[in-house]
Amino acid sequence: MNKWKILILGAFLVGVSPSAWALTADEIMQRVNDREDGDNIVMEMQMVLINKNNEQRVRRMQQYRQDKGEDSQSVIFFEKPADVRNTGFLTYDYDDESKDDDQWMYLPALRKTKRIAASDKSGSFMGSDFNYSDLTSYNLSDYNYKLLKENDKVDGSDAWVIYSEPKNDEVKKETGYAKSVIWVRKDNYVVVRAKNWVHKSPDIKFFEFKDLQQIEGVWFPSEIKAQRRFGKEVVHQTILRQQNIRLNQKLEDSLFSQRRLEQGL
Amino acid sequence: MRTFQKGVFWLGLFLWAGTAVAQGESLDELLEGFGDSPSSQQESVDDLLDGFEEPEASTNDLLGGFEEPDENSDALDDLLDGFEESSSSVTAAESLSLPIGLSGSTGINIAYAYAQPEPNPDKPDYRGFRKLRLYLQLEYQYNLTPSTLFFVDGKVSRDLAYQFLDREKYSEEYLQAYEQEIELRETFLSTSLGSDTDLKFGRQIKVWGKADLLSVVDVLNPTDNREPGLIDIDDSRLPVTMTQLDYYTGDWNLNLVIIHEIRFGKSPEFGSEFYFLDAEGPAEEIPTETEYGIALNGHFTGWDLSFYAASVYNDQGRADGSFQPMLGLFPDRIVHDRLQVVGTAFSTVEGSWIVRGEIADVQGLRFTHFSKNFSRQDHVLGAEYSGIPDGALSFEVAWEWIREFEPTLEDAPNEQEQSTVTTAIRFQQDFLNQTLSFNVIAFQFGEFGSSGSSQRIGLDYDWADGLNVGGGILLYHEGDTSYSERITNNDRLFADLKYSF
Repeated sequence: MNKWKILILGAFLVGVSPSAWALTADEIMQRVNDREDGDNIVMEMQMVLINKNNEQRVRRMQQYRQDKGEDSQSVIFFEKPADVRNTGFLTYDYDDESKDDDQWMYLPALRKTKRIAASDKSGSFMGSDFNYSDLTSYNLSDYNYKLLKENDKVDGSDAWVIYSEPKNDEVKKETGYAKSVIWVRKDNYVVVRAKNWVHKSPDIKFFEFKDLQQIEGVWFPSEIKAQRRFGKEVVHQTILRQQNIRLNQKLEDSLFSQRRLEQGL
Repeated sequence: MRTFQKGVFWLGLFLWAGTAVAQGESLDELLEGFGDSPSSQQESVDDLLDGFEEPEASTNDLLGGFEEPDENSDALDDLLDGFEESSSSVTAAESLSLPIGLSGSTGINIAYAYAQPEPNPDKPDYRGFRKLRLYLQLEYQYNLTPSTLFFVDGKVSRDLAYQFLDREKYSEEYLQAYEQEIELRETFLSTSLGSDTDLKFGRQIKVWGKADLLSVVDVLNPTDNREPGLIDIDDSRLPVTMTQLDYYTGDWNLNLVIIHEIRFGKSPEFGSEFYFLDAEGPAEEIPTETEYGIALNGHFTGWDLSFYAASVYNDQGRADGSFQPMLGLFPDRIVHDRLQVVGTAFSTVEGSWIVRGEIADVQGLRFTHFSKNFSRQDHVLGAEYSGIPDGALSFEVAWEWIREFEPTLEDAPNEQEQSTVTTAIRFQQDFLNQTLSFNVIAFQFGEFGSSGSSQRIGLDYDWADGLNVGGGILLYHEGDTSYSERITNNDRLFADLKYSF
């Protein structure tokens, strides 16, 4: 795979370099990008959305994703809350930078599958603090990287700290982020923290990837915390829990189709 | 009252425009603070990064917010504490425990008419609360086998407004239609016949077409038209008993439809403020012959294409009757003519835009007082822009054109023009992590609304998981048609509460 998966929902693989201490920021990000993440993955996800009054809303969904050559396909079925039950979201994520992703959403209230414009990914995913851009792939070549810190500690592990900035305003607009700082663990090339400056906003989003677990050789965070802050004030936060993660299952291509999107789980 | 209506409409537009201006200001602030303007970008980034070589100050700005073991740790600890607290306090909300497969919703729909004049003593009073409808909808889904599903959906509602209205001013038929309703909605059995074929039998809703607001090929299911612009989207299409066979191969799907239940849209009853005439119309004749449809749908990278053909009854009835020497045609029934519809639809995506189009050729149209068949060509072109963060703007224009038109069709009772244009615009903007939604939907009938127009402006708020409250205003504007004149005083405020479980 040539693209850097932002790792919100994706896999976290081990890829230790014998000369890790000498890597540049570009080389580190390339290795993050190059990690194997399995041919396919099935997982249950729960998002807890918390506003500044500590009121919580819960979203539950089931995600299936598979590689299709250089491309990838994913389908998400929403289970909770009741008013979005059976809503489905199908994405064909193309490796070719010149092609926009294909996205369709099945809306049970309309009994209709709608094509969705996929180029602008800056919108909130289901009201969470994750943008659609956090769920799909980035082009590594769209960003400039610089190593900010050779050594930092995150939960007791050594990590590089890398500054990342889109090369042009178009990428900032599409992803919704003006710049980022990323913490990459040295022993497994897993992104364990990210701090994203929201484009056209004074807000900053903090992402933390917690409780890494290794499944069939692939590292996954059991929990991802996302906080949106205005100054020191936490405006909103989201806890994403990934459960029952299964890799390399026998998945039919028909699972990633509009037919299945409308049939539901 | 007109001034008030215009005021509300422009307030909606002002809110929208204000949002855009506010975003522009935020951009300036962002550029100022972070130095991201194109001219200064590189310099600012270099400055930012250079700062890391001289320990702390700039670095801390970038790294701050997580655990930061340096001299600014007090402030950063505060931020960190927030993480810890949120983690420990988060628990999944308890939801209503229901038997597997059972779900539904309950709520109330309220409408308040404020623009109606005081009626004559013998006429119904259309002022005040026109709807206080409580409802309960239950769905049950049971998987007989992994590929066979049984689904049933029923809804019961009772309108309490008629407890407070002068019931004697309404006919029994009217009260039966509006006061209490029990509806068997989608109820079907579906199964897969092999890996590429699906069969579905029962009461169903099947949507054709790509257009969202003004589709001309979505001809299979009738719609509820009793309160134009105010029907919940879940209830707007009415299911009919049909058999569907779907065959899938590659990027294509062939959809065969046989409609066994001939059912027409729900129209306003005589006595309603939305009724078409001063006098009660004749009874409706319901034909019995089966309807058919076939669709071929293709889904490709960046675009979709569909072809449709159907033999269905015209949902819009026409008055028919016997010829009287002195009176001419005396209408004694409403009939529905058989139509042959052939059409195509496409949608394509380009950046943040989706462009949609539909064309349909309709044969077999008939009008009151005319013995010959007419044909009509229908077109829809629309676009949706989703480059607005958490917002979307879409518009559609439909144009219908009757061939071999005769000028007398423009007279009553047909009031039919050869060329009819309808425009629809919808705007939605979400706030507060999609808990609050501002939405506007506007229709213009005729060129520049010459035949009337309507606007619905509303707010929806997700109070909690599954609990939604909303409200707004619905405005009707008079045009050059008798129906738009008739309903122009039906402006109303509305409010809804819905709990889904």
